[in-house]
Amino acid sequence: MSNPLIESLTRAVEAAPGDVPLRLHLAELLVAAGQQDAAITQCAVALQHEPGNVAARALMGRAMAGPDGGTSVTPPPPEGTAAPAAAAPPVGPQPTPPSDPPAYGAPAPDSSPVSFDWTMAESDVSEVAPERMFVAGGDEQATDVPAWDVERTSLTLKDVGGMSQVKDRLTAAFIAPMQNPELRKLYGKSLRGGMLLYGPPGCGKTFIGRAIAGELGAHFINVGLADVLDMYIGASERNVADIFRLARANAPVVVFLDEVDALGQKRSLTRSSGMRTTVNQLLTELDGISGQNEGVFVVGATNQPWDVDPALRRPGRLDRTLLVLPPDQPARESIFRHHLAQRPVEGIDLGWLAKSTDGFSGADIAHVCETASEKALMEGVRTGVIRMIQMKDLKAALAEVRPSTGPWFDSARNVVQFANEDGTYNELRDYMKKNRKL
Amino acid sequence: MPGAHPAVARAEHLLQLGRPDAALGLLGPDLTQQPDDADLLTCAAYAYLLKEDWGQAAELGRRASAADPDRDRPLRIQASALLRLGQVTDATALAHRAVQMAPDVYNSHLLYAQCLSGIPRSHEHAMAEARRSVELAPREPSAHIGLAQVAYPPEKIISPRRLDVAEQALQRALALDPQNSVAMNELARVRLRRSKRFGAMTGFSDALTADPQNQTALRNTGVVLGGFLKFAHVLILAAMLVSLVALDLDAGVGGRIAQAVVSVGVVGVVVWFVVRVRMAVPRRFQVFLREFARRDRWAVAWAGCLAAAVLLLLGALLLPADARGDADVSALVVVAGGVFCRRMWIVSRRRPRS
Ligand SMILES: Nc1ncnc2c1ncn2[C@@H]1O[C@H](COP(=O)(O)OP(=O)(O)OP(=O)(O)O)[C@@H](O)[C@H]1O
Ligand SMILES: [Mg+2]
Repeated sequence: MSNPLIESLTRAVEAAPGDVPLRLHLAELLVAAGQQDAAITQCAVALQHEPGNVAARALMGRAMAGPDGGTSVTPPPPEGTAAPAAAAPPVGPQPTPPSDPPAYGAPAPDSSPVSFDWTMAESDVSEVAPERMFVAGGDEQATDVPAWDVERTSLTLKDVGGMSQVKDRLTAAFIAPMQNPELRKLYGKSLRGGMLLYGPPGCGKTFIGRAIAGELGAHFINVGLADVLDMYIGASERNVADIFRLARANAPVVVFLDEVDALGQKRSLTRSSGMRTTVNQLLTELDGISGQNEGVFVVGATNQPWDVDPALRRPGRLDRTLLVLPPDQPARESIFRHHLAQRPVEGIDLGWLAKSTDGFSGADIAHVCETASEKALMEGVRTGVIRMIQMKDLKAALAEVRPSTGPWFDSARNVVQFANEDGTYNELRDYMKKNRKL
Repeated sequence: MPGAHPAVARAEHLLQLGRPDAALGLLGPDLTQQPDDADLLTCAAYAYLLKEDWGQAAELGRRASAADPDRDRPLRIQASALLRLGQVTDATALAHRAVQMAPDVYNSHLLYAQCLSGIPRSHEHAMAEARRSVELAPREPSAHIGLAQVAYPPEKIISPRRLDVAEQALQRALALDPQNSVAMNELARVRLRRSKRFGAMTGFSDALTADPQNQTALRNTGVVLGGFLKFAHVLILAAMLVSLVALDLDAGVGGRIAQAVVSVGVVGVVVWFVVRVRMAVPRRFQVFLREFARRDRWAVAWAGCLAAAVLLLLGALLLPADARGDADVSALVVVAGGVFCRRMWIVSRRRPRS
């Protein structure tokens, strides 16, 4: 990709995969730049999000018509003659329901190519798949103007697949004491403070944060700290105060402070006074947790715990840490189930998929599913026969997608080797040793 | 300047937080609307510079300059990118223009100095510019570090006087920012140049404590270890030649005694070296060895051959005289060592990086 504008926009689209207008804008640019294939892919993904989007279809038609926009790739059969048997049927979805409901683990029905109604299929699938209520945790837009939404979530720890160690530690160190006021009274001040989740990107920190809220029956406020800082320069102190005021008004609530490393000590900005006052404001708010912060649970998350301001990790603040590692096999299975539940699939062997994706993050798995459905859709577009997503698409996608956690473990290795004198990262070190990453 | 565009203000802020991808995502839509806006282009160019995408940074910097020729910042961005791409002459011209446009900005002088130090016979000129940048920003560690790097550029052999200048500048930088990992690495580089190998090893290790992600310092520990291997190689080779000659002159007791002295001496020196390095980097010796081995598989083979050579030396000592086959084995090892000499030459030619 040579055009920086297209590249930037591509990144924006990646950051907000659900933003259909943005995607279509990108597709338009791609058409203008003569990159028809890429444009078709973008249109196809847009159609996946909004199967009825007229603009997307029109644009797809234009992209498929080729660079000059004049001739069609498959010329329509001449008037009056019947289309030859081999000719492609029209590309548009046909209102024919699928002959077989999609099933997991079941062998693919040996069906001749059928025209396929995506909307119908999706509603079909949603009935078989109760996981549909899962809210995608990774979908929030990091760069969006934050509005501090107070969410209600139905997610609980039961929805977190696998990761029994993480769940046990969460329950023992956080949820059980928080749920039990007697215990809290008994231990008094020692229960102040929050929890810091850390680990490679895309491995479920935000997801677990939501599950904690659900488990506690609490509201959920998701705060990207980088956004707090970047919103209005100079106003970030007030932002922090606003967030905690909002939180107290909505107690019980889990305040999820994402990217706490943005307040890091090593970043150049920390030395400037503006950042310092924000950190101090946050410390003040956190220290209020014992009294006026009744029912306000603070959970921090970061990919770079080593950049987090040490003051934030002192006792009474984010003093308990929990390492969230790439999902284990049961977790991967449940992540695959979640992502495929919303798509028309057939003959999917979840066990095999989970087994073959060791080291993949939740986000990588989402990417695999996305790529597979793009493949199925593209083939449909090419041949004119729209079909369901099959194992062969997923296998092909698996061959393309590599685990994205590599760079994280590279920097983690340096930290474990050169900045673990006090044993803070022993858990991470042990995991890395066990998995030969050290 | 940032402020005209709300997107630019936020993106600049994201860049300060070290998040160039987020910044580019934010700028993208605005850039499609206003592809010739100098603020947007400059900010995006800087984001690419932080991402180390020099090609894009140079291109967007060029477009930003074209959109508003009166600005120095896009010139600096473009020049930095071109310098990284090895286009020193173009970079120097741009940096010079930036200096003329804003003579009071220390960055411009620093960049110009860096460009000049890549051009033959302009060292004095480069030093003058680097000094000017320190004058303009005496409390800025990066200016002092820049001066040191111009005084002692990597991959160059320089006079001791210039080493002094570099060392003093680095000490000033460290006085301003005691945890500055880059300055620590540079200082260790100066020490290594002065053949203080163990001190240099400690310095690189300290730079890693200050910033575990400092890959340059980590790599430089490998340069030191490679130097040790080279030293051991020469030593062992010499020992073998000496014992061959000694046995040739006197196949009896005298030759064997000479051989014994030489072999035990070699082993002693090697052991002493290992002990000293371990002391220089407490608890990290194995980590550095592992990283060294990970980065350079050849060095592992090399070290293995040297170890085998030492074993053969000792083995020849212990074997009875008639079983030694007239030191044929030793001669073989000398030949093998000669083959590895070439590899040694390649590894030891590496110099510590900035
Ligand atoms: N154990 C799990 N069970 C079910 N789904 C999971 C699990 N772990 C991760 N996921 C899925 O992975 C996706 C990515 O996780 P999430 O966004 O929480 O990662 P993150 O650690 O917050 O990433 P980032 O560091 O990029 O913010 C989630 O949308 C979720 O669907
Ligand atoms: Mg997250």
